[in-house]
Amino acid sequence: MRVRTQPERLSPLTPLAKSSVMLAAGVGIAARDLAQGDLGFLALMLVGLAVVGLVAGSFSWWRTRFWIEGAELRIDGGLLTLTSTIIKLDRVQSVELHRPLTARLLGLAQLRLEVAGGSSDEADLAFLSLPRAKDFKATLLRAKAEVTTPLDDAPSAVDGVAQPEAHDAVESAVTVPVSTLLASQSRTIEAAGLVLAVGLGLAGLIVVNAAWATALAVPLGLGSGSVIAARIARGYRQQVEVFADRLEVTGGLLTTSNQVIRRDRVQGIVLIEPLTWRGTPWCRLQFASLGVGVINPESDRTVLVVVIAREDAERVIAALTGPVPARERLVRAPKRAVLLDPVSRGFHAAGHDQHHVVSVAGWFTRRTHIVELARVQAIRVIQGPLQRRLKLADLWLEVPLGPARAHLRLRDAAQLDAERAALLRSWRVARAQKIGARQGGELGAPDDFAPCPTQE
Amino acid sequence: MAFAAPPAPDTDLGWTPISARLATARRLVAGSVGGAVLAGWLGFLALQGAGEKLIALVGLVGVLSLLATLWLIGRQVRALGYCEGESEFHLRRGRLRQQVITIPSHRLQYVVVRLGPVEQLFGLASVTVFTATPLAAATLPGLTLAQAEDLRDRLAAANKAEASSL
Repeated sequence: MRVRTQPERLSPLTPLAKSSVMLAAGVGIAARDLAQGDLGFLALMLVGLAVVGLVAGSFSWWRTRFWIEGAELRIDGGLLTLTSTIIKLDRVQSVELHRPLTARLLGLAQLRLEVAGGSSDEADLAFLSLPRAKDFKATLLRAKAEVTTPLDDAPSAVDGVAQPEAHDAVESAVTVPVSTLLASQSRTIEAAGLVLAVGLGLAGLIVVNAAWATALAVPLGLGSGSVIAARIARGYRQQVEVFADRLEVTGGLLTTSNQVIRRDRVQGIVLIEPLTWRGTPWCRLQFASLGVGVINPESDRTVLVVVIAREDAERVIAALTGPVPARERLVRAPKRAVLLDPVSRGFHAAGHDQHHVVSVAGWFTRRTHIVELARVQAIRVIQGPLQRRLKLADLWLEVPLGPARAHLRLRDAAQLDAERAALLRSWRVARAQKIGARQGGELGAPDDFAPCPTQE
Repeated sequence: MAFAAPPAPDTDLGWTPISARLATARRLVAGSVGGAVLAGWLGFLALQGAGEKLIALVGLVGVLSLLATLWLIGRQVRALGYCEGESEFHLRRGRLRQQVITIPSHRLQYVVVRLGPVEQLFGLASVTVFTATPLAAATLPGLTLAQAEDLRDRLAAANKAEASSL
């Protein structure tokens, strides 16, 4: 049975939530000015802009309607230009419940849908009342599950028997305690910058009364402080849950978000260890999803766990991917590669088994990329003239643009040839399994590969 | 060459070279553009009243580098090739910086056949294969038009047979 909902409007508080920042700024400045006895031009302008925004927003709200029809989410609306957006649900990579501070104060939430190749916000529903948002998200996911053929491990797909309760079984769940977050953020470059800034500022004010110290301390302090604040705001009570069919990352202090990606839409996993966290049990964890984080890897749309204990991270990864090559088993570039890369040769290592490729790169920030072979789009082997002299070569495993990219760097060419042959074989098997699971899954599933201009 | 062997170890397919006419076409373009620039430069030097020795030196260096370019074009074109495996498409290119790209047919998003003005003159076409990542887009120039259209159709057909989502 296909899911179908009636066309409905966004929450009537939407215009208020959208223009509240400007309204607040205007009111704030106006209040300050009033206290001083005269109403300033800036305050009037801000309040005026906010009112215009409110009116325009109300009009746009009145014109906007959204509904689910079969395999599509439709959003009709627009301020002057009427736009009708159709989002194919089986193309949706992830769904996120996003709640900025103003929305939380008003009891609202934003539903963010990530579509491969889409721009940032054309598939967003902002804002809905929180209960409606949760409800609609569930409806969306249900509709999506109905139109999408399960690709892998969900057992119900293979048996053809619906086991809805299996989808809600948590395979792995980790909540990062606030103490870990604070402790980890105190051991960052930015924390050092903040301490330096405070020290400089105090020294400048008290000891030598030097203006240059303050001039240096203020931007340094503000810069470092805002980075730390943003990380704490994002990482506050972050929770990672792995379900049979999906991955959820939830948390946040002022803006709370709940990001949901179907497991077969996770393009890669990156485990990030900054230099300052060496010797600590912490790391960061990033999940690559199609089309997210290509332009701005720091965007809050990427799925990032600000800090997590490494053993927890490994548990999450194991739950998501099954066993992957252990770090001890990864192979480094041969010694002679020093001639080409004296600095970072020792920090690169890579290895693969039949299902996954793991590569480690970087010294200042060590990144471990884990890519499922079945997801690899292309394999490239490159050998420059100097590399040829030294009998070395590079191998890249190309996945859709994003944070995850596995790379076998400066390998012995002969060995790489053999390794490449093995990779090609496992790659073929992995792809065949995926396709088999797909075709053996549900009958009459929509063919979600749309060849571009050939069908006329 | 380290990667001269056929990339698909379990097939007997070798590399299909591309048309040698591409070398002729590229040489024609490089030769005429380079020749014109060189002639213009020499003329300019002569007008400025530069010494004979300088003009001869510039001319010599110019002609030598032009010849080197023509020679390099030949090597580059000979380095280009493709191989259609059972479920993959392989492409190799580059002489100095050698590259082999392997793309499974069901990963193809679309295939484009392009005919540039010079290519049309020589009856050639290029085929570009796109996947979901721009880093794995591969262009194969210098096919005859019939070859290019065949290749496009075969790739599209293989693609349909194995269609799979990301």
